[in-house]
Amino acid sequence: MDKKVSDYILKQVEKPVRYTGGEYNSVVKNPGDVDIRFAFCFPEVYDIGMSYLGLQILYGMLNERSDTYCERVFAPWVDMETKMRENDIKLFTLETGDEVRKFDFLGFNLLYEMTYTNVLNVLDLSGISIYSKDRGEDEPIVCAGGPCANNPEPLADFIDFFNIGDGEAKLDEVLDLYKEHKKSGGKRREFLEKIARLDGIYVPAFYDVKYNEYGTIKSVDVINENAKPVVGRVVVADLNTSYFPDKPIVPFLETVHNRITLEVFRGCIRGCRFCNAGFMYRPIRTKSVDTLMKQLDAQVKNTGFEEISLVSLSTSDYSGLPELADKIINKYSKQHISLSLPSLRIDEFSLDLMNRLQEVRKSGLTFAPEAGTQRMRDMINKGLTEEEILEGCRLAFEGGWNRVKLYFMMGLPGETDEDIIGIADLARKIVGEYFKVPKEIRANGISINISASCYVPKHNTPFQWESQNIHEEFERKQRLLRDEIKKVKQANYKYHDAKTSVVEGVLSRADRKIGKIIYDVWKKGARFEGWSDHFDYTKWQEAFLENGMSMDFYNTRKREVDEILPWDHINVGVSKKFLVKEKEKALRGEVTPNCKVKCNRCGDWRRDVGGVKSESICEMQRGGGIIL
Amino acid sequence: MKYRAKFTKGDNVKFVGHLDLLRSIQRTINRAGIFIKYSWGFNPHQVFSIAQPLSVGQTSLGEYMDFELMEDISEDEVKQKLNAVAPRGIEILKVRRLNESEKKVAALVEYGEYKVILDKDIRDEQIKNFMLQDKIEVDKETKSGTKRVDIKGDIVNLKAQGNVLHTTISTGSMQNLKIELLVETLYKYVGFEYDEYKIDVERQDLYYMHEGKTLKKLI
Ligand code: SF4
Repeated sequence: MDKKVSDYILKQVEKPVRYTGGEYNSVVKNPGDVDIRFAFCFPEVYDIGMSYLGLQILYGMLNERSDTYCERVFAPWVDMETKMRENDIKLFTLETGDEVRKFDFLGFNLLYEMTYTNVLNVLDLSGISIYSKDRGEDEPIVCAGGPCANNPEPLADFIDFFNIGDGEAKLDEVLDLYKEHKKSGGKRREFLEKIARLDGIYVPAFYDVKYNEYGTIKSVDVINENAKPVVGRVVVADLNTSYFPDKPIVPFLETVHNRITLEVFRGCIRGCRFCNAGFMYRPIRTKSVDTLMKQLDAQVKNTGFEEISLVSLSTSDYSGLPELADKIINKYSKQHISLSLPSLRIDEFSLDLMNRLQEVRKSGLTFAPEAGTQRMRDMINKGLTEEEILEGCRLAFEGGWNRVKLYFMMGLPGETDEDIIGIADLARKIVGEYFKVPKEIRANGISINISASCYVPKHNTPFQWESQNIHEEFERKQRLLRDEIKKVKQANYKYHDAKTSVVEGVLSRADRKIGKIIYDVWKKGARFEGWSDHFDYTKWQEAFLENGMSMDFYNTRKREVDEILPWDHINVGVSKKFLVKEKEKALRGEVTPNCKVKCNRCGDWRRDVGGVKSESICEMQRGGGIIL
Repeated sequence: MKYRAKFTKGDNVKFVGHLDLLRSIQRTINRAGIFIKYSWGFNPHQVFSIAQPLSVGQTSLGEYMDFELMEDISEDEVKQKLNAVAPRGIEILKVRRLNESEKKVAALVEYGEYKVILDKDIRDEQIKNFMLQDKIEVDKETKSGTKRVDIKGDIVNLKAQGNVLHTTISTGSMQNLKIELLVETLYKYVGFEYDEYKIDVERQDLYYMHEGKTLKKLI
């Protein structure tokens, strides 16, 4: 790029390639030749942001447009921020090095809540007004999307508009309107009014939230005639025809996931009640094996990556997997391209597959029972029985694996100490399975690594009304679990910081009032709060105190199902009725069969096409001919 | 078939660290669709070796690497195929087939030629006096602590024109003088304040000593 920041500064910071761009497949255009300049920001450090598939998809898609130049920007690491502030350097994009504040758009991807303070910091480093209401005509339109946008309220004061749903679905239309609008010299408010009419576009300034005496929401009123009372999430109906990049950027820097990431399908059939991804990415839309192989061929050829990773929420549910895996192995193992399959259910098929992937080292296997007792697993609708877990482990031990990683959560609704102790019991039973396997067959020595995260009740899940544990309670349970696991000498236990989960819990279900807290916490210097050594809980405590607000209101308070929730005017597609039903079933310990067994009508997935209802865009519901 | 390629590390990639550069080259080779020989083991990896890595932030007009291909392709074709898919800043300048008996670049290289842009002007006579010293002693970090060593023998030539320094110095696995250390020593001698971030280094080429008298480029 045309470096606007001097080599003198770049030489003094850690990993300067984070700021210099120029990677293979990064797009070069002449800014003078385009109508729209779009700065796409992943509000994390480059190494993390570049690993995110969503960035590659939208970057590629926007740059397909000859009238648009999409450039990247990340949150500068703290050493770079210091240099920038000392030398009054405004935040710049990687492609041209131009200042973000000169762009038409600044779009944030919100992958998780702990990046919210980074969003504010990026605005500030760019020299863009932090609050939406203060932004002048010459400032970029600031927008945001991604999974967190399904509860946009915490950032409502800072973002001009949100894109709710798949980025591929609506952005083109927004940019078409913008181009027209820019030519006619319209004001930013006029543009926001125009797009507020589109599905999936939410302009928070066009809504007024009134509160009850105790802080709950009294009403959300539309105050601009162009806005809709409820904003529906937009989704791509057919992943076989929607945009997928054939030339993803190949970073120079070793990023978290430096490989080909191939998305197999979107949505999840499982319906685990704690998981908001499982509901938020519905309905179920798959790619055919043909599509996947075509996309893969292009990516292999154009990137030179030596690893392929198949991703989706639960890849084992894809019934085309045996065929796909065969094709990939036959075609690519000769070229020394390896295949990795995260999120596989452990069974005979997957173990056999892993054997064939020439995993000489028999790296560890991962199970996610999520809860220690069957009662709790039924409550969260984790369709996995103890027999299945032990059977999977036995098969693995017989196959020569001897390292097992187990993922659990603590602090689930209705949890008792018995459920915590159950985690250690399960570990003990797994060790028992290992010793049942004859010595000649099993590998030497067994190790079990247990990770138990602190549960965060999320919006748009059946547990969205539930109370979250306070951090002292999490910590008590951690001590209890630690003591229990000590009794199983082959097992290790990894802690998670409870306080981070508490703040995440606050932000996940927050309303607009929290905007002031986020602002204050950022002002106190909070950045990169997803990094445990940068997270500082006391800043949040102070901010709540200073504003006369309470964290308990957001995280430990149990909501009634008829309370107006901050995200009720956003319709992600899964109906509230369905969530209430799931919540009630959870309390009764009843499981809900997965979508393969039976469609539970989680929402109305028909679409309005010119006044007529289309058939459901959920492949599972539609049935027939679909390979999932 | 063994090959040697000479390539640039231009402005666009000057901040790419050594390991990241290796990976970028590996992926360039993959994209080029030429099949390189793999070493087997736990983690099969491409076998190629690079001569004397540059420090992060430095550019070069003459880097070298050796690699072995599974097939016999013409030198021109290798060069063309790699250049078609190389990241900006990496340009293959030359490719030559190697005989089985030839030494690997890493073992062959002995000298490097550099052009350094300084933040101050240096006069001819200052350089002359610097080189007229009996010994040019510096502190070098070794495993057994710091040692005083004489680097005069490592400097083949040293010239300055305004703020541009041209020099050829030891750059090899046996004898090695870091260009930054030379500049720092020179600054100290002249009485300039040295700020490592303010000098720009561009390597011009790498050489070995042919029959004990002439410097020859690696290809
Ligand atoms: S519509 Fe039916 S099949 Fe589709 S995701 Fe919802 S419950 Fe599952």
